[in-house]
Amino acid sequence: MTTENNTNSNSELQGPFSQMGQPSALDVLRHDHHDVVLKKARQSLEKIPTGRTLLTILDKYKFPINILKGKEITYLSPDEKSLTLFAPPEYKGLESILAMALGLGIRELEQGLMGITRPSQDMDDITYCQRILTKSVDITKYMCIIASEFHDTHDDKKPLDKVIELGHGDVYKAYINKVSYEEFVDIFVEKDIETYENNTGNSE
Amino acid sequence: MDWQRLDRKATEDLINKAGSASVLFSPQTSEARRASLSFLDNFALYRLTNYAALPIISLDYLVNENSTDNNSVFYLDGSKNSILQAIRNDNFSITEENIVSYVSFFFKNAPDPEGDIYIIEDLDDLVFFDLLESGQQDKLRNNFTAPEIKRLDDGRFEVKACMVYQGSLVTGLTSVLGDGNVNVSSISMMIHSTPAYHKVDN
Repeated sequence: MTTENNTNSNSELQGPFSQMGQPSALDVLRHDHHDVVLKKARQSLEKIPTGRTLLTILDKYKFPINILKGKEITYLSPDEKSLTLFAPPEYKGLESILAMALGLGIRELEQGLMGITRPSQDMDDITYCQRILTKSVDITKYMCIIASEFHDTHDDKKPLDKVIELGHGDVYKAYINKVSYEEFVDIFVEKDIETYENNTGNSE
Repeated sequence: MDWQRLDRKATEDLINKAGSASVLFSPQTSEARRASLSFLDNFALYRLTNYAALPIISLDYLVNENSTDNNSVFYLDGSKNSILQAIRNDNFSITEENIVSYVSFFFKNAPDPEGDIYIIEDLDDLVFFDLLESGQQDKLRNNFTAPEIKRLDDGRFEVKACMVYQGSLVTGLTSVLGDGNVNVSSISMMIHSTPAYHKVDN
C-alpha cells in the first residue's frame, strides 16, 4: 500500500486550505494518524470491485487527500481537485466506513472530470437545483453500491448501517430492488426533504 | 439539544472564531446555531453548518462567551480532550438534573468507536424500539426501569439506568468524574445488538 496521492500533503494541506496562510491553525485540524487512516481506508476500499475502480481514478489523477480530525467520518471536496476526509481519533473497526467516505469522495471528484461540476451562482435557479440533485443522487447511489458490496462480499454491515443512519434506508431498498432511475430519484427526493426537515426543524 | 439559530452577523463572528475552518464556511451559505450547556457556566455549544457543501458539512465548537483568550474556542474533534479542556477552563457542575444530559453530550461528542452510548430516560423515546423484534420489545418492557440517580459519599452522582452501550441494550452504573470523564461500570446485557435506524442530527 502506498500513499502516493498524499505525497504533497505531508508538510502542508492542499486545495483552498493552503490559501489560508495559517499553517499552525491548520495543524490543529490535521489528524494525528493522517497516513495510517488513509492507508486503512485505501486497503478497505480495495476489497470491493467498485472500490478498486474508484482507486484507479485516484491513482491516475493523483488527487491530493487530507485527513482532518472530526467526530464523524465524512468527506469534502472543497475545490473539486482535492479531497478532505474527516475521521475520529479512534477509528479501529471503522475501516469500511472510512473506505466508503474515501470512495464517495473519489466519485465526487470523478463527477467533476465528467463535467458534472459543482453548481455555480451564475447558473439559473433550475439548472442550479438540477445540478445539486444530479450530484446527490449519483453519490447516494454509489453509497448504496459500496454498502451493498461490503455486505455481500465481506459480510460487513457497517456501511449499510451508516446508509440507514443517514436516512437512506428506503433508497437502499430501492437500489437493491433495481427500481428505475426515475423511481430511485423520486424516493431520494422524498427522503431528502424528510431528513432536511428533521434536521433543521423547517417544513414547508 | 435546544438549538437557537444565529443571525448573519453572529454567524460571521463564529466563522472568524473558528479560524482554521473558516475556509469551509461563508456567512452567505452557512448557518450557525447555539445551545446552552447546563453543566458549564461560560462555554456554550456552537454548530456551523455549510448547506452549500456537498455533502452538507457541520462542525461543532465549545465557545467561551465571556472570554477571547487562547482557551476560549475548542473544536469538537471526536476526542474527549476538547471537552475536558473546556471543563478545565470553566466552572463544571454536575447535578441530579443535568447528569444524564452531560453523559449524552460527552459520548455524542467523543463517540466510542464500538457504538453509541447513552442513557435511556423513557422507553417511549427509544427511537429504534419499533424496529426490535416482538420478543425483544417484551423483554425490554418487562425489564425497563427509569434512571435512578444517587449522590455518592464524595458528592458525585451515579446513575443506575438502562442504556444503549456500544450498540447493545444494557443496564449499568454511570458516574461523572470531577475532570469531566465518564465511567460506566456494572454492565449487564439485556439485548445484544440493536437495529440500525435513521439518526436525526441534533
